[in-house]
Amino acid sequence: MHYLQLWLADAKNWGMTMTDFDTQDNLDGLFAAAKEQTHDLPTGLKERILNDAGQVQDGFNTGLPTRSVMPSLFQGLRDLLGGWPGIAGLMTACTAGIWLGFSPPNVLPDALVISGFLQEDLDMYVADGLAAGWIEYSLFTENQFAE
Amino acid sequence: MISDRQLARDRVLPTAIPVEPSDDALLVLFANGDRQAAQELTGRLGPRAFGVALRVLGDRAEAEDVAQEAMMRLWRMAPDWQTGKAKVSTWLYRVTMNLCLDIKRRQRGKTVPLDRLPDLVDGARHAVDQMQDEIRNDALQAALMRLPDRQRQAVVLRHIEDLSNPEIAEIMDISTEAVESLTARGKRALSSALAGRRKELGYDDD
Repeated sequence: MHYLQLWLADAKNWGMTMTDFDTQDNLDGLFAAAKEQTHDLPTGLKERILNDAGQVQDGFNTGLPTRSVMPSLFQGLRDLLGGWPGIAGLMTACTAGIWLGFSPPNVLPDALVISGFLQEDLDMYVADGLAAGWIEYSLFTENQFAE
Repeated sequence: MISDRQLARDRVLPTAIPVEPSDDALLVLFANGDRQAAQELTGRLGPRAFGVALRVLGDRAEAEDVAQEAMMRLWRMAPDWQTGKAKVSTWLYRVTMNLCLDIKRRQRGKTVPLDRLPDLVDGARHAVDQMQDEIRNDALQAALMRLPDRQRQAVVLRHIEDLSNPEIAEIMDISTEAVESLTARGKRALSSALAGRRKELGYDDD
């Protein structure tokens, strides 16, 4: 008796499942039919949409093209740097670098000292260069006058 | 004897396949003042906005208003559109769905006029005069209208608009798993709603 009740319950559940499955198949059929149904724009709606488009375009006041259809080189570079935040970060770093170059704080050593030059060496180098240049110029002018 | 020159002359050269501009490109052209781009975009995207709004709202007048407003927002957004970031159609679906939700929220608490819903009994009453497809379509629409708003949106986008789950997730601003859950529950609800109507819909005779 107990088994009979279980079997009946199973049979009932099985029957319900079959009904749902059957309807599910039919549901897919309904979806397929709905997909094929196209909704053309009602004529009045299409006119209203195009009228809106015209008014919005007039508002753009576009005498010249405002944007290119193709992405610009700058746009590509901007994307490469990570957008506007990336560009802002790069500009801040550059500005800070230039500022430190012109006006290094006292705590930082001189860049020339770091690179191994002493002030005397630099003075001598500059003086030698100028002197050599003057001698070459003098010889050139003397030769020219001699000819 | 057919000469090589004759063969070359008679050879059918493949005609160039016209490349249609993308929605992205058309939107940029529109922003640059191209009137033809507005025509083309209206032809491509207008029916989608109207069709999905009609399915979700079940009301033609409201669907027209929503489609017009969605397209208006598209026109206004055109100069700020970032090419290649997202699909224009996805953006439009999203706006349309949000507008539909706004309408449904405003209606919530109010009595929904029965004559606005496609009536199952009414559909059966006109069975003699209508095509079987129309009756089935009405039945589907009526069953859809009985689903919660978000379930209906997900089911329509997945099974009628044929969009992918990730795209629907983007449109509805939810996770892909949430989309799967909504569509599964929606289909089950539709299935049970239509279960007793197989004979009326002509499926028992199949």
